[in-house]
Amino acid sequence: MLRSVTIVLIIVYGLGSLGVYLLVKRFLNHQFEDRLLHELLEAVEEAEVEPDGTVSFDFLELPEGAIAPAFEDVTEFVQLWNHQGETLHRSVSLPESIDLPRMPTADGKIKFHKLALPDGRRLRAASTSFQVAVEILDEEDLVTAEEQAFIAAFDPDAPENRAHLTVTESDAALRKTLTVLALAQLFVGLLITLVTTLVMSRLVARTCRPIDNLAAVTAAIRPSELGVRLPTDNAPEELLPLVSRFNELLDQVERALHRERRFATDISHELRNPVAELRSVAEVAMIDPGDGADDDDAENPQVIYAEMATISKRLGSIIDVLTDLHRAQAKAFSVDLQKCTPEPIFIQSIESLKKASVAREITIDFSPPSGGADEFVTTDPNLLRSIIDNLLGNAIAHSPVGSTVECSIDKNRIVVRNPAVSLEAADLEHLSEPFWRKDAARSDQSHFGLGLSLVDAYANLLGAEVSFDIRDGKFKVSVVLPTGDPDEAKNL
Amino acid sequence: MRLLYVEDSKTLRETVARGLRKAGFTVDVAADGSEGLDAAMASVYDVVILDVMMPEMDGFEVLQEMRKADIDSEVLMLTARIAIEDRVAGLESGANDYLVKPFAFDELLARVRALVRRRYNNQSSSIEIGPLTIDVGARMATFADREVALRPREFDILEYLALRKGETVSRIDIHDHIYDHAAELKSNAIDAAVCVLRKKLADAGVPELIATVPRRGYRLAEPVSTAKSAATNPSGS
Repeated sequence: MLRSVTIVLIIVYGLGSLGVYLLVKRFLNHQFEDRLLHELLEAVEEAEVEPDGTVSFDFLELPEGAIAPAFEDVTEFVQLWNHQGETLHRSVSLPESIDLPRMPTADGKIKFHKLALPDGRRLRAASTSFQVAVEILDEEDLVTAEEQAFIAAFDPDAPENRAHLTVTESDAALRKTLTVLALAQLFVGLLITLVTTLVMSRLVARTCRPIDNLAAVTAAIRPSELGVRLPTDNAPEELLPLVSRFNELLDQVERALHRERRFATDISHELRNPVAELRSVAEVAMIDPGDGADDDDAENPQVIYAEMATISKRLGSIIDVLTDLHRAQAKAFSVDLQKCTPEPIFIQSIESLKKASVAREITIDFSPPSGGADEFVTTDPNLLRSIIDNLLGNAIAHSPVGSTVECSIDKNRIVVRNPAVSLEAADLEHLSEPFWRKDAARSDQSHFGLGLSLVDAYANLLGAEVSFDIRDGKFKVSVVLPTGDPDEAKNL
Repeated sequence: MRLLYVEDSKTLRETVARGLRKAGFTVDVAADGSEGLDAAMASVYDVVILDVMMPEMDGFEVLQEMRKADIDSEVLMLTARIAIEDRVAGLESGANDYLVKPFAFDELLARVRALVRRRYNNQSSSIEIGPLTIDVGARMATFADREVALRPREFDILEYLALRKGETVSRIDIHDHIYDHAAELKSNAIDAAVCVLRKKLADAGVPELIATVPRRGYRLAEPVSTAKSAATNPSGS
């Protein structure tokens, strides 16, 4: 983080500095050229043709320090040419061996250029071409007849009165200023980078300390210690939502892991017990084969085989139900949705469970649909039958002997209600969990605790909604079936 | 030796009990935790085999109540729970051993026998009483390399007296450790069985080992001559 902040800072500062440098350079160049232009124009204005045909500059007569430069120091030069390129005037300080470049231009046009003297001095020059004016003398000045005749005959547009002027000035000061500016920017940049790095490193360390603490706590969390939660007491306000969300996520993971472990334990128990029984029956039979003299004797081979067959059948049932559950949860079932009425399916289910209900003296009180038998639902009749079989089977198995199981169909809602002997409201959230049983000892070998998981999974496949409720000592399961168009439901 | 097997699975309970009886143990059974605790409180058991997951009371609760009541029977926990923490919980709550379902019946038998040996401080699966060797595993007594033919009940009495070698064992003790609850005994049944056992040992040439302690019971000890010989020549060479 610190490195990236520093790099960003360097880039931003570098670009900013470059921008500032270029702006300042442009500004100073403009200023410099303005001054050079001003000097050039001053010189142009001061140039005049004398009556004797020579061209002179009035400023040469100005006192020292006047606005117009004298062009006589070592860096400021002026040179004037006539239209034939003959030098009319040149600064005295300009070495004999050097001529300034003559650059004829259209009238009023200025050319700026750089040049270097043979001695290494670097100058900037401004050149222009112009018509030299004649000096208009005041009346009180004494003017000779020749002068008056010259003035009268003077043609301001005559080509011979055209002159070319170049003025120069050293840009050393400008370059020095720019160099100082660049160095200053570089120095300030380095200083800012250094200070920022130091400040940022401290700031980042301080800012990241809570994150480091959270990272340490997080690193200490092991799959076997999911009860650990990130502390929220000292967490910075900015991190609080993240910490809270992470803790919620840990809650979910812990619950899921707990469910997973319980599922593994339950399935292990459900399979280990019958396998233990099967193994013991076989091994004890090998030790004590019996003689088959008595049909009811536990040592009779026929009894042993029957026992082994019963246990194997129970094992097979567990595997079948688990396979169905897995396929249903993975949506690997082929579902044949169609319009049908649930009543006949319900009646078939009641008939198929008659033996079980009679054995436990359970009365099944079925209320047919109040709106008549033509209430259609959209469902797969086979899966609906499995749902009803499971619900009724559970109700019969878990109701007290001699009690009544109530069933009803109201439009698209199927309800099965039975006396809740040991079930409590807190148990409702576990009912759909595979292998969940109220009896932790899991003694009832006729049920595995998978029935309501199957109901839930099948209902999911059918787009139905299952809900559980306990009221007035009765446990109620409601299944609301869809009623839409089967073709549309298939496409969902 | 007398065992209590507490198991809610009827098939397992009946099958394993039958196998254990066949192996020479006297076995009482209970179908749930509270019934098992009642039985453990009412009788003396050398080993209690406890299933963990049971209705009413689970195996851990039964074990805790047993230990609270100072019942010192060896306890073997039997369960389908395989997690390490379950095993640790079982052993920490006072169990002497832990076996996971499904188990091999032979392993269960071996562990039960080991617990019996441990209870009577016997390191080996055979007990040497002078010239007589009692092989607990094979349920066979041999003298001078020849088997002494004994009926199961006679072997049980000999084994129990041998395990408590040198102690006076009352008739009630013998009854409690050899006979199950279902057995209805005549008042002199134990005396009669010991008498037959003595006769069979004598017929096989075994010197007199079982002494009657008047009004107290029986004591099994090495013959005086053998004991003296062993005392003067500990290496047996």
